Amino acid sequence: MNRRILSPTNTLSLSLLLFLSGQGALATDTINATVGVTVDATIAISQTTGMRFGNFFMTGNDSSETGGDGALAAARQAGDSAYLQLNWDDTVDAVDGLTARASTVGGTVGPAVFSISGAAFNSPVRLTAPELIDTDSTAGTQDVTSLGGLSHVMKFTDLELDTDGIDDAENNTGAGDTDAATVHAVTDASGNLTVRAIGRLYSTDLGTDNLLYEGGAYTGSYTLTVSY
Amino acid sequence: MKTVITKVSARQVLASLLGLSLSSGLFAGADTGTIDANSVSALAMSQSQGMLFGRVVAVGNAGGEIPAGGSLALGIAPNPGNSASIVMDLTGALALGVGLTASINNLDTTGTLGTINVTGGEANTVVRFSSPQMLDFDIEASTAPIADGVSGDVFHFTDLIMDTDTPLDGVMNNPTISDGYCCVGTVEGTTDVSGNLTVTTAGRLYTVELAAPNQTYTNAGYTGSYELTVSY
Repeated sequence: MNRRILSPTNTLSLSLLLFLSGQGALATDTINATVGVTVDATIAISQTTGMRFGNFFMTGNDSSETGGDGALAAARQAGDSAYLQLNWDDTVDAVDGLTARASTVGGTVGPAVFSISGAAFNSPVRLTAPELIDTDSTAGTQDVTSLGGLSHVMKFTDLELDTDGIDDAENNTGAGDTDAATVHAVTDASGNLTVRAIGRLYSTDLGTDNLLYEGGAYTGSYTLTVSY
Repeated sequence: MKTVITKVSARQVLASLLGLSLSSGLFAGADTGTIDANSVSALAMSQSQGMLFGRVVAVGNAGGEIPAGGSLALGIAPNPGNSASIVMDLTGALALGVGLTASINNLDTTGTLGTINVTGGEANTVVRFSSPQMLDFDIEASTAPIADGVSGDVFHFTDLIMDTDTPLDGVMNNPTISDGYCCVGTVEGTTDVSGNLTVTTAGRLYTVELAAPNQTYTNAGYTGSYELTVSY
């Protein structure tokens, strides 16, 4: 017959062991807690103020003269056209062409203003437009047409963008720029950015040599795109 | 004095042993004792608020950038590799980590902490939280995918930190080297007088290489989960 000899110390230890074993058996719980994030690369831009060239007189080109072509390889190529250059300081320069003529007569003048909002904070964004003046692309042109019955047309191009508010263009017009036709900027700490825009209006051949542009309002538009 | 037990049943042995402990070691014949074992299996945990990083814009890693999810919490300091990251602290504040070519930017100022409720515990008792994604001082935290489930684009979540103080103080209770902490990968908390405890969680999301180098993350809601265990 086997005999086991236990001391009181052994007894106490065994009793304690039984109790702890019961306590720890199921005293855990595990969950799968969730993590979420939303990728939202949409970015909004809206015009708060349109581009205003004020009042002017202008005559069209001779039929043999090249129209205003706008920016090509950074250097504007005005052809033989006269043009109106909108400046950052709310002024307009009128420059005569070969036979075409232009002059300003006051009125409301000023750069366009765009607001970018809802973007990522302190984040680089890119602004593009076919009419941007840059180093290595041919800028597109947009018709700016009279609202009268003659539908006289000027050509808008040479778009410049100021993204830092200090009255100069951030267009990539320097040598070595590899990202032509794109203007870079950075949103502020709230994801917002204000951009101003200026450009140039060129005279065209109106069908009759050196015809005076029809009096009245002229309107047109250009597309400005913002992306990350 | 010695106690001698002959051939008896286990029940009798236990009863005898308890009898000994209650009778100051004096054994005077067999008796039937009772056993009271209290299994506290009621310890439970549930999430009342998921962790949310808000809205971001992100560009994935380029090919060859390490890793396809830079995301190892090793030696307390997260090792992001070449990934970009967005990290939330236990106040909900968001900060960005710059990648090599990857990027991430936030559209919201703050995120939302995860909130976990422990109930049914012992009163005023230390409980331990563990997770494979836990940031600590000597293990490599694993990652949990956070995906939109459609595009295949994915972030990696890891570097889990926890605030287990009562009241919550916005500071992580994860062990650090200077703590001399005994149990890596474990964060401790203490239940209240009712056996309950509320903790908050935060962590970090890393970019990975997507289907193409430096591809922009697809617009969508991304979700995933991390495993969290509570025990005594």
